[in-house]
Amino acid sequence: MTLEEKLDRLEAIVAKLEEGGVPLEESLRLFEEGVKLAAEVKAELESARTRILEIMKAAEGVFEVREFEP
Amino acid sequence: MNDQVYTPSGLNRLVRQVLEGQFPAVWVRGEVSRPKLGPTGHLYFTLKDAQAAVEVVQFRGLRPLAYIPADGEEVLVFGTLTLYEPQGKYELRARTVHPAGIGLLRQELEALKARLEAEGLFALERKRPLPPYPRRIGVITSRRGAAIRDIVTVAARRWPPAELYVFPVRVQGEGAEWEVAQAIADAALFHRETPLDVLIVGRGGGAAEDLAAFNTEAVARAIFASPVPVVSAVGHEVDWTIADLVADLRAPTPSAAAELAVPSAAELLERVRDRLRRARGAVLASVDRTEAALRRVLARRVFRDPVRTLLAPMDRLDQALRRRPLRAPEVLVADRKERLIRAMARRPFRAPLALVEEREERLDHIAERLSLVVRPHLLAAQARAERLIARLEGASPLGILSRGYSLTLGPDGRPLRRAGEVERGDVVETVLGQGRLRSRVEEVEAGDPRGEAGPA
Repeated sequence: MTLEEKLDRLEAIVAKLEEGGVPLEESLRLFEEGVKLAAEVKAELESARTRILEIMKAAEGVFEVREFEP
Repeated sequence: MNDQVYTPSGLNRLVRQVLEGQFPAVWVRGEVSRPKLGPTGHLYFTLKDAQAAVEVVQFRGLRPLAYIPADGEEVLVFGTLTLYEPQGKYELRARTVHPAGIGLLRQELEALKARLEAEGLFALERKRPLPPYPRRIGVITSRRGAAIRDIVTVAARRWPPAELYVFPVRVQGEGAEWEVAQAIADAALFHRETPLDVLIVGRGGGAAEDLAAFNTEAVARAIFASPVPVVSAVGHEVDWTIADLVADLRAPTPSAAAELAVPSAAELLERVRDRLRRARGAVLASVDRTEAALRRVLARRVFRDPVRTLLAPMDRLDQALRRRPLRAPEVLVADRKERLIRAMARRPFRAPLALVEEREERLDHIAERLSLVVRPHLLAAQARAERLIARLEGASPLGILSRGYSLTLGPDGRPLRRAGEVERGDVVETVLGQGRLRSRVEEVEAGDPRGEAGPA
């Protein structure tokens, strides 16, 4: 699941819970899923380190990628 | 002709006034010869073509001149005419000097804009939205200078998941527009293998003539053809270049381009926390609703006053059974009896409420600590409560008694559960499907733990 899909799913879960009419067991299951998604998003954002790469053209349509050194 | 006789000074002054007052500003293109920077910082050179030459001066103004042409270089000069009175030579006082071949004359620029606009390159309905959570960000700019530094700094601070793919180019000087256009095309090829989410194209601040590469058809068409949404970042607050007009989004500076291209992780996490709070509130509301439903069930008369409720339908039962002969096999009767006794023996009228309270407490726990460990217990408790409720509802006396049960009441009028509750000689009353029996107890066998309160 991509980050965007996780955030969309989280929004959908909240919308469904707030709409009401979800049986208690189902709402607990959804809540648990939401907690899990939120934890994953948080971990993903907090563990990420920005990478900076430089693209060199080796030939037409062929590229070399290396770490960017300013 | 008038008869006035001028001195050379007077004549030169007059000619100068005419030149400065009446001659429009002009663009002149030519080859630079003998450029010289004076001790004052002013620039002097001769502009020539094959047949003629004109002297050019550019005053330094408040800051040093950004561009000093080399001998033999082809340049475009924009300026006004004046006369150098001591020598009586007219000269071009330049406002801007930039290399020819990159820049276009203003009117050419306007014509190019009009043409590209007519073709729909600037059309607003063609602008693409930027993806909300970009991961790979292409950056087309000089590998040196403030622009790349600003973009990297802002992107890394706001959005740690960003991966920046830098396509280095020269952003000014002869041929810069082809390098920029080629890099945009390269990014499109690169994108086929490694999809880019957004492309930032630009440079740091510069004088108007330094932005020339971004005012070209080559760059405009490259941006228009880009499969990746483009943010322009030509560092000029006021003037919009053609690149700005074609880009999907225009940022006034490279830092601003990075701000626009990536979201803020901190804001996103705050939003996620908000959604979790809302989810928790909704779950607690759901618990409240379930509890209210349970209370409604428990408020029914059979739970409030079981004995009376059990006895009340007897008369109706009598009549019903009179119309429909009984045909319940012995086994079924015995089984039902046993279950009824068990249900009553467990004091079921209190248990569901306790289960609700337990469930609430555990839900609070799970919500507060986000602990998933207690969840199975919670669900088990809930499932038990629901099964119990279903059974209690199934234990309606009408349903059971209509199938051949009878109920034996002791001398005090309460249902008998154990044989030991009566003694020999006691008078008991048995409520049957049809009518009632009043009997005297002959013998009590209290040994069986299941009791003797069955059908008389």
